[in-house]
Amino acid sequence: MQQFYLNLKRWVVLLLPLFISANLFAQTNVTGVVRDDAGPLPGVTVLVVGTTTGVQTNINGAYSIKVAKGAVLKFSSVGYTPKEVTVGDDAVINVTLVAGKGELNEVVVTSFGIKRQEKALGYATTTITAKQLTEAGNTNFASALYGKAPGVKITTAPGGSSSAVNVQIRGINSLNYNTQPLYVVDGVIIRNNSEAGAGGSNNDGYWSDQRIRGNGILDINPQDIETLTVLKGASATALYGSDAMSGAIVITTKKGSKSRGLGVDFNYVGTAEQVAFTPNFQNVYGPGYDRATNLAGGFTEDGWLADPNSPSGYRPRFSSYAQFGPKMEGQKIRWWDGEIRDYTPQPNNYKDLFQTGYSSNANIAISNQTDNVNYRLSATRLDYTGIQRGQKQQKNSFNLNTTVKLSNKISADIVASYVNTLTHNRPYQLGRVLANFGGFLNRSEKADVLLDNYQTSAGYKYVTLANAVRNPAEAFKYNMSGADIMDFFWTQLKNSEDENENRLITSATLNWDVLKNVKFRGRIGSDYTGRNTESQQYNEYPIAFNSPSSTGYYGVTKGQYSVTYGDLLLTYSPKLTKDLSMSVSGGYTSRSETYRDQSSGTNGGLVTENFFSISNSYGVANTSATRGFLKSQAVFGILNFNYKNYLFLEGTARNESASTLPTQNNTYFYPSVNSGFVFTDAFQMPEFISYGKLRASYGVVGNKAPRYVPNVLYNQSSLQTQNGSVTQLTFDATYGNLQLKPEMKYEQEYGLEARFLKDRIGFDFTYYSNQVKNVIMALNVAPSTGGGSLLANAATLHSNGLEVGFNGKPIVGKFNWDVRLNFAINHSKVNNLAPGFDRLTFYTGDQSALLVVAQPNQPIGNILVYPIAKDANGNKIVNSDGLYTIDKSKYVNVGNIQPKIVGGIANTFNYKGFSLDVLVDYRWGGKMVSNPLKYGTAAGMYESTLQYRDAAHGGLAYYIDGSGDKHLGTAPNGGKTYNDGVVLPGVNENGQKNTTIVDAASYYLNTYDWGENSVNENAVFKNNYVKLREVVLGYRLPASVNKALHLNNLRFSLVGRNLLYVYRTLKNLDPEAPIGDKWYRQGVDEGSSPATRSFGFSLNANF
Amino acid sequence: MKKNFKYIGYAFLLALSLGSCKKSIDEKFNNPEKTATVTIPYMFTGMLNNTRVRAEYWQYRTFVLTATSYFGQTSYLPNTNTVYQPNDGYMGNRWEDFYHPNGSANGVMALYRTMEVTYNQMSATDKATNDVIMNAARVTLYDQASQMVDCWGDIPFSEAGSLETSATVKNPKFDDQIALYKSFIAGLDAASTYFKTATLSGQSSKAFTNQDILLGGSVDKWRRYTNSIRLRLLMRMSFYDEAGSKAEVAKMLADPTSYPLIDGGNAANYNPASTDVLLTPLTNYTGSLQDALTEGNSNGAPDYMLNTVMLPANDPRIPVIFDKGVDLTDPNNPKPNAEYKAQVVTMPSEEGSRTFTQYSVVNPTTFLTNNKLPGIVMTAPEVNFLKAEAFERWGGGDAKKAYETAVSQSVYFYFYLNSLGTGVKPTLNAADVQAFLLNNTTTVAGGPTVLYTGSQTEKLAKIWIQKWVHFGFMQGTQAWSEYRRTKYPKLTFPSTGKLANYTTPPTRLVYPSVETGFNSHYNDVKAKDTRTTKIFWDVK
Repeated sequence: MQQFYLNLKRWVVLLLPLFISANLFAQTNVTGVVRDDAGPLPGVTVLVVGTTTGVQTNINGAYSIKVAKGAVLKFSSVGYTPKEVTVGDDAVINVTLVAGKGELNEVVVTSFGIKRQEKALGYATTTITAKQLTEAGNTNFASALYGKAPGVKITTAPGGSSSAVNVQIRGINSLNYNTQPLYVVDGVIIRNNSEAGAGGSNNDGYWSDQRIRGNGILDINPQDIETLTVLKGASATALYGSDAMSGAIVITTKKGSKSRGLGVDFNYVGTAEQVAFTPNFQNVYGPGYDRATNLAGGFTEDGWLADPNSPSGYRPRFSSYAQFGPKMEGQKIRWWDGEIRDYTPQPNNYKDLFQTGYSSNANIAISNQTDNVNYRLSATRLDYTGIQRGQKQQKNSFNLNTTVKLSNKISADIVASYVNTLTHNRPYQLGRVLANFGGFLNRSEKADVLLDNYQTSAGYKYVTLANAVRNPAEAFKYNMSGADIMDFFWTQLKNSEDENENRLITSATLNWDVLKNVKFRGRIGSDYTGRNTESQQYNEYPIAFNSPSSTGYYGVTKGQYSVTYGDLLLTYSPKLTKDLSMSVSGGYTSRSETYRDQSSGTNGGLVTENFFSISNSYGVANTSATRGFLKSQAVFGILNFNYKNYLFLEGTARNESASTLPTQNNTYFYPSVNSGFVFTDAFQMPEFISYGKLRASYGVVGNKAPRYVPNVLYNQSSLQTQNGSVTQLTFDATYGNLQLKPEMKYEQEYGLEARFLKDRIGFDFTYYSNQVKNVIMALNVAPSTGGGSLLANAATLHSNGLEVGFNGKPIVGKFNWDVRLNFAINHSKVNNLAPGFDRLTFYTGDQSALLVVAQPNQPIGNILVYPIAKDANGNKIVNSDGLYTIDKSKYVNVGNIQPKIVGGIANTFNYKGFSLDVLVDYRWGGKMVSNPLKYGTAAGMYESTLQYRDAAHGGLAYYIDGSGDKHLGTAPNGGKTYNDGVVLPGVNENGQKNTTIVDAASYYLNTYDWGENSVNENAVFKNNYVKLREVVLGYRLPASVNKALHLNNLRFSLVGRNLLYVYRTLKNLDPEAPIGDKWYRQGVDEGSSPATRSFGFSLNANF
Repeated sequence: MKKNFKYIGYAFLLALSLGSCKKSIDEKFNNPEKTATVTIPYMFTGMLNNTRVRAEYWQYRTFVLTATSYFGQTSYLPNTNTVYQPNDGYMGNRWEDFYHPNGSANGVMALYRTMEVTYNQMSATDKATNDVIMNAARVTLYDQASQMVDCWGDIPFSEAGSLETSATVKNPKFDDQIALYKSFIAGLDAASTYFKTATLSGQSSKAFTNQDILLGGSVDKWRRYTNSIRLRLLMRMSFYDEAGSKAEVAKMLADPTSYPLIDGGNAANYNPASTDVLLTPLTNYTGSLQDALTEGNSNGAPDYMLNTVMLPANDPRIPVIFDKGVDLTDPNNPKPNAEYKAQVVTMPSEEGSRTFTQYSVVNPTTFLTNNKLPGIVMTAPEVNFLKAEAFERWGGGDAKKAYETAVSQSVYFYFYLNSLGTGVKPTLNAADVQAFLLNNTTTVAGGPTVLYTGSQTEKLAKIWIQKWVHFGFMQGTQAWSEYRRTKYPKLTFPSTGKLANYTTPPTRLVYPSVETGFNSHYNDVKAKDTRTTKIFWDVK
């Protein structure tokens, strides 16, 4: 309680100036609040008709004007139908404005849910409407944002509705940890991925987590969103402080609408999805290596092995990962499982490993508004079956949004949203399954064969030749490659991992008009998630073969995550003079997060076969429980000036404390200032300019460390020894930092917005430049320094960029064409690094032969490789084997993973009831690192590797003489001539032109092999694409038909997503393959899951 | 009514204000699941609880069975094209596990540095209490560090662990391997001297007894362990600095009272459990080496060891080290193999994997399913082999006796390992051991197999070959080191059909990229960082 008084005291000190400066308004005034469907409307012009007297509503939509009885007040605001009211006896006139035709974007929800007139803002924002989010049937809002907001780059992890969607606003804002925007739903900061801790999800590759995870924003139902605003720069997000350094996405959910009264909406979207954009495989050669390896293995040069059990008398080397073996010509072969099959190409075997996915999403909503209550209740059911066999998801969402008017001065908003998600066998990362040397799918292998063999008839795992004793009858007859794929089927089809997640997001907001011009708002909200995961893994072989521990597993994981959020806002908005009005606000916000995880699992397998219980553990069951707490609070202030409704100035300040930083550095301050100037209102302009505004802003925003990462602490555990329990003390590979400071981003931004020809053409142009100091990251260090990494304020980053949006209506009339184009250019570079570091390495591939790094004064994300050695004249050096020599003494820069331009073009065509929406998005510049693609080339998987394999594909003719030397040309005396010769351009070690002939298979196997001796620039690919992202063809029933059906509105649409690439440079890999939420992960492919294409239909009905 | 709402407002204020204090923010900084206190004895346990010492999957699968024991041929060598190309990532893991905690391996270097920092800040009394543990910790560190030198040569040591000592990154220099070896030898001498006179207070004795999961807090055993490691290092560098090693070894061996060793009381039928330095598995350990051995066919019997050394001598260890195996060429008709036989190393790979089951494998009871298999740190047979070599080269004792003790002890040692397992347990007949020592079959390098006769070169060859057999794959890294030092046994390594640059086994491991990519001092040693550079003691 003492604490409370202390705080109260602080409050009084904080707010006192606001009261003291309050003027006394003694005159008889007309006052009121102007609202729209969504809430109070600021910036509405209230004009006494026939005079020049006028005022504007403040940020809470309130106004106050001195006016004679009988006069007419005109309420107008851009985007709304003006309304006139005659002043009578009432001193309070509350008005609700109805949105004008087509335009709703003029009011923008900014930080802390404060609504501001779009024209008053001094920084760039993008608002996305409900229609844009839902029309193409996306199961989450983020993947509906592709190409729609300039400067916002979306990447969706493959795997469908359960996979994370990452949003990157304005390039790279931080190098490590939190680089995702802050999500605010109805004023409450929600959990996105923070339960996963500092590392996030899917950032550490296959071995740390094999499944593709989701993130928290997937739970926000797009059908319930009214508007979504993207706040980009530091000035826009400064009030949110240290969570919004990478921008903020502010979402307002739908409410009841007065104009409509009681209404029922029904929406349904059904789509089917298929594997798309698969690699171009070669379909000529089957498994086998180069001639020398074939011979060393006891095979013929071509890769055959005599086998009396095969009808053809021979068989290929089924265990080979490479595909340089015999041509597939329908020979009858005894397969590795003992069956007789045709040795023929299987062009679709990769695709056939997957299935067609289905998604069905039904939503029904009831809404109403009466004088005192406004509500909307919606229920949504999503059923999803993914392309990976065994993958399934069901999601039930309920959303209630109410506003209760308690008195003329007080209203309360209550929003509650409940989401229940069942996820069965989340999609599996396939990099190590399909794109490694153990998993390359033999080009003659049918998917069905693997599906038939992954388990035995008794339900145990497949039995390899080496383990034949476990089941001699069903054991494979030969060694084979493809066990990794059968392991994948075993995991996804036999075993199960079921996640059941319940999430409740609630908020209550109290709006109170305390005094004239003084408003108070209090809000409390929470986001609670309970997750239960149960994993069942079957025994892999009979317990008779246990060693002595068993196989199989049963485990349960439980997580409880909660975010409790509150804010208070007191606003005072006096009118200073006829032309100048102001508003000053003071606020307090606090957030506390709790994460609890508990996990128990069997150890050493299951004693009794397939009895799934912790009590059936072979060893002492493993169990663990962890807690995590985070608390932050801030006081903030906002000061606004509005001069004649065309010049606006806003200043904000926030002082924040957060528990995740060391005590001496855990309080910090951010100011911001921004200004908007509507010059078309200030000056007389030519008529063709309908609107013009200049913006300027400067802001500071920070970023704290994830919880517990800076700690320097020790792990204590008990060892069970023969002498009893013994305490052990160790620590983690990542070393903390007790001097850590918060990251700070300083950003300036300028913008110009204009519309012409009665708004038929418009553009919005933004330039920004920012510096991020004290970037927090875990620096990878040499192990000999005593750790794997050290947390540090490691670098200063500098970014600048342009964001441009164009919109136009080339054709208006019966046939309407609306086009919106945007693009963003961003450059992010490192200014300097922590002392002692000349580069930061984010990704290391192939024995350090390939790195993704940040270097001082270089763009972030350069790709460095060991180059091919060159002589003084720049000729490539070829070694005595006829292969390139690698120069491991230095790195060369072969590109950068960051795109230069990202954007989209959206077109809407309307004719009568028909509409067609076509969205194309693109990415230009920047490269992708894909080691799996390199290994696949080494293995001869792709069509591109047919080159040099025979004369038709450019292979040189040569023969081998008696002493083993190779000579170009046809063999003399009827000797054997080979047609797969390659002579690499370059010089030998003596500087003479290379003449050494190497066979095509050896060329691929060595040049594209794993490791530092191969040519690692071959793992770096240009990544440009133009993608037809969404096409929606809709038909709206004519009003007459609707009426007959007692409908308000009925719309039917055909939707297609990810339909095709208009252009792409990556031929054997989907440009959007990468997973993980860290920035560099988006430039590195380690194999995830195939990309998909989906088709479907949607139905929207209002009653 | 209006008043009520005011109260609601105040209630909001109250709700938000509670717990809004800075103190509660400060309190939430530290992870509640961890401790801020460094307790030296607890951390000492962390140093001993080393998965790189334990007989566990990762160490054997990724380091011993697929690298060091390939290069010393104490395990089955598959004739594949990348067999001499150690995996950089796995070698990097091994490297990291020495320097810092990383998952389950505990990084003896970083733990030792942390203990040292805490120790240095202590009062004289507290220091005295912790002295015994600090000495034991240093011996553990030197033992592990010398094995790092044996694999890589120069390693960061004296400046390593800057995060623990100063919370900053100071890239350590690569210390000269010779200087390191000498400093380890001197440091072990100092520790030995300490243990000789140490009298423990009740508190430090209790802490040492509780926390020492290796030797149960026995000062005598630590002293023996210290001297034995020192003997190993001196002999290892004895071809590089014969005079220096000779003087020090002679001093140790001439004065067993001052320099007691892990020698099993020089009794042939010794008890490994009470004598040797073995790291016993934790009681809740459920694993075994089965997967490490069977994945990649590492359970195959090594050609030279079984066919050339053990079979002709009718080695009594055969039934506990090997198993004849079951021929599964026709899986429907499994046939137990009739005799012990290893596949020849030069067999082509496809034929090798096809006929794999026609040959002997390692003993399932002893190695494959043995859940109690200890991590082997130092054994009496090794010490007696070292003594035999010293006596043979420089005199001062009965080389033959030491050799025979060592060979006999090795037999008892493997029967001991076998006794820990579950399954078939042959009985040891003491007469067989005697017969074995007298075995005079001529096969190896033109000389008799076991019987200690012949020229000094032949005798030394026997000591080294028998020691190599004793190390086996369990101490595969030691076997590789001794093979490089002594060039015995005379092994054949197939070189056809291998990847270019990888046609022979390396003579050392190249530094892993996880170190070279970050340590700026790498440039100082880069020129020497090849797979064919020799460790300083490799001069024969």
